Amino acid sequence: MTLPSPPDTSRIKAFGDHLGDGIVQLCFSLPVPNGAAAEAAAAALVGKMGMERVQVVHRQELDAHVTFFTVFARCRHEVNFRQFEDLVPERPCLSQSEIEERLAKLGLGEVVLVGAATGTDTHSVGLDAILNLKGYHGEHGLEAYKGLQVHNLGSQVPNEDLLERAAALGAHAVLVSQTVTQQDLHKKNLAALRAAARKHTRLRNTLFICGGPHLEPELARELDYDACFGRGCTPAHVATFLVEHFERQLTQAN
Amino acid sequence: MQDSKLGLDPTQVEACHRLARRIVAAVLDDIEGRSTVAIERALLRLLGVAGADPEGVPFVNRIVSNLHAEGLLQDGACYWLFRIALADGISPLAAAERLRDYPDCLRTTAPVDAGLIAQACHAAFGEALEEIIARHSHRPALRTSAARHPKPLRYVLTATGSVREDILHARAVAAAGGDIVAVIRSTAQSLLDYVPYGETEEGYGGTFATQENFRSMRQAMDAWCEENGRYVRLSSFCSGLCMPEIAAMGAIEGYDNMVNDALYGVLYRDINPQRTLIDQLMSRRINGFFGVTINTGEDNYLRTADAVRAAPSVVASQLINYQMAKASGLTDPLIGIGNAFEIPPDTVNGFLLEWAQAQLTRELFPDCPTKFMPPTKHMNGDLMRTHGCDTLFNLIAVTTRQGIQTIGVPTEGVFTPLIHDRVHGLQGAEFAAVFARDLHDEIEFRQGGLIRLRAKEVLESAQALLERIASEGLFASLADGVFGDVARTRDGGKGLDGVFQCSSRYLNGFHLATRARSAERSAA
Repeated sequence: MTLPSPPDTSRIKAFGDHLGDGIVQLCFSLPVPNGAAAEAAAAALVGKMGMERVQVVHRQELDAHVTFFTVFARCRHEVNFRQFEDLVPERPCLSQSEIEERLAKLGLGEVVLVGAATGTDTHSVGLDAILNLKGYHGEHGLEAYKGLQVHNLGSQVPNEDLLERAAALGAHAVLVSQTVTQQDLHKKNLAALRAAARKHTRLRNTLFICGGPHLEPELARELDYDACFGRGCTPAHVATFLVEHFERQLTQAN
Repeated sequence: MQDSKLGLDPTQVEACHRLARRIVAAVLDDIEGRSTVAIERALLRLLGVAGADPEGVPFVNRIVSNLHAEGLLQDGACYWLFRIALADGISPLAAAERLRDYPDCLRTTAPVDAGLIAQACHAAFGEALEEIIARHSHRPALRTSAARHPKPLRYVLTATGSVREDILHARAVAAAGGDIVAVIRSTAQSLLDYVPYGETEEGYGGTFATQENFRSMRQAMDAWCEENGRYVRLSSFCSGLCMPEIAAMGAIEGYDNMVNDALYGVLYRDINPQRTLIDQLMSRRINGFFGVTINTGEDNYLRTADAVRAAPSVVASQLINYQMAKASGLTDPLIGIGNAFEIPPDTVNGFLLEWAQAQLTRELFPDCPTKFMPPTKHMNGDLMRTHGCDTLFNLIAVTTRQGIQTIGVPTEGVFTPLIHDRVHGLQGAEFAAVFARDLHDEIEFRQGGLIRLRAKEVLESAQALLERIASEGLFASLADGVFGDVARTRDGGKGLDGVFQCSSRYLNGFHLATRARSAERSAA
């Protein structure tokens, strides 16, 4: 017995049963009464998405004019995986001990980090998971790392307060957490913080890092942050970025 | 305490309640004789003062800030409103308008006998409260008719940001068997020292709690009830800087439940502890008077602290919160003590620890509609895993006969739920409720077994913690970070500037009218 040969990764399709079958599962609601017409409409909508062999396997009335569907279909589209392999590298992640070792070699003394969830954002779970000793899911937060000095200012901190504390503490990096993203509230707040930071001469060399469960890494470029950490990122990802950044800086200076 | 499945020691339980009573008595002594801007605004709302100016400043805020600007806030809004009404021979609402538009009248109004002012205030509040009670006199019977057997009631959150869309979602919740709909508030509304005005279509992570939004939601769900013959309860949130005002608004609009927890505001919104404990007392008195069930927010501690380790602090807080509610005149059937299912899903025997904690909450508060919250902290977008965790949560909720069960949704931790996510959650709850209906009666926990031992250990640590809080005082303990791993100081946080010491002229019309009413009741 041999496993099926690995597919040509320049042309990959979704699959569920056989490689290349294109099977996907979709769940959605439509604002129409439950019935045969609703089912036909749902199938037609899925057809427009580039799907074939559409099967509505479940439909359910949620209200007199709302119906929910579960649909299986075959997506005919394919993508070239290789182009993403080059474009989007895996985020590097070192172990805590390796990070501590390399931080010590930098000879910077303690690296000062100041973090907060700013603006009206009241969520602190993500910020605490990254910064606090306890961390998350068995992985220690940055407070536990030798060579890092962490100041967690908590949630609902005005942008200006965060900047002032960061300047006063001589922060190497400012970490801003944003959880609420409805109507781009996070972008407005992050942009405001970045703009205000440019006025602080003492923060000229400070790194600005943002993070939150719904933030995409590309957001860093859009908003002029040095890095952006989203869903699935751990304290080690953040620390790895920091140590690699300072190492690069040192090499460039020499 | 008969038939403890956990084999709890009744004398130990009583000792814990006694300690909590001592802690609460000290807090009440501490806050005695003080009022807040939010209490004054709530009193005005109960009298029927409504509306806002074109800049969106509510009239009740305008009146209270006028009193403050004239240096007369210590007498309270009631004193001045009824003094002006009597001096000028006008109605209380006309006096409110005058106070709002012509603060000079505070300096020019003629003196009036204090006894007459108190009498007029008492009478007007008596009438206003009677009117609110009469408007909703049909609701208690509807609530009884909509009790769920066996328990718990199913509590579901909506959070679209727009009241119109919330109505659409709430109808779907009702159709799928939801018993209580709570509209989540826009993020950080709890930090506003006013209640926004009008119907709102735009919110962040929730919908603004306004009196007009309350009304629209109530009308829509009453209409659903008419069509379908099943009453659906509504709930909102009395935490934050407007605790008593939201309670007043809920009473006026016929709401059935309210999350009401000062400590939540202290720990997670950094609201000043003195301000919010004073506000809470009044807020809960209003809830209790109108028969509104409150829910406390201990579930949140488990999100910021480790759920296995923080269990005793949850129990200590539940006991304090319960005594605080009793001191506000709430009866047990109106006190929904909070608890949650937040132990990490990869914990060995985590299910047993959750069961022990849920059963412990039930046995400590046998006559309270305890509110059990689903897992959130460790839910991560893996929809199938979340649904699996919710199923185990549902099983415990049914088997321990919680009073209220918040419905978990598969998309927890991803975004505010989609319209069908809640229906999936409700179906899961129904499945457990039917499929395991009488499991409760079949279960006894083994003596010396893991569940009994865990409950005993948690209660013992809670007792030790209560002893510490009783000797230090609640304010000092908060500063030590006893709850949720968050430390808050007595004078820190937001809103302390809204607290004032009452003068000898101070009047609270709600207290005048309700004390007389309860005296009548006990005489009869």
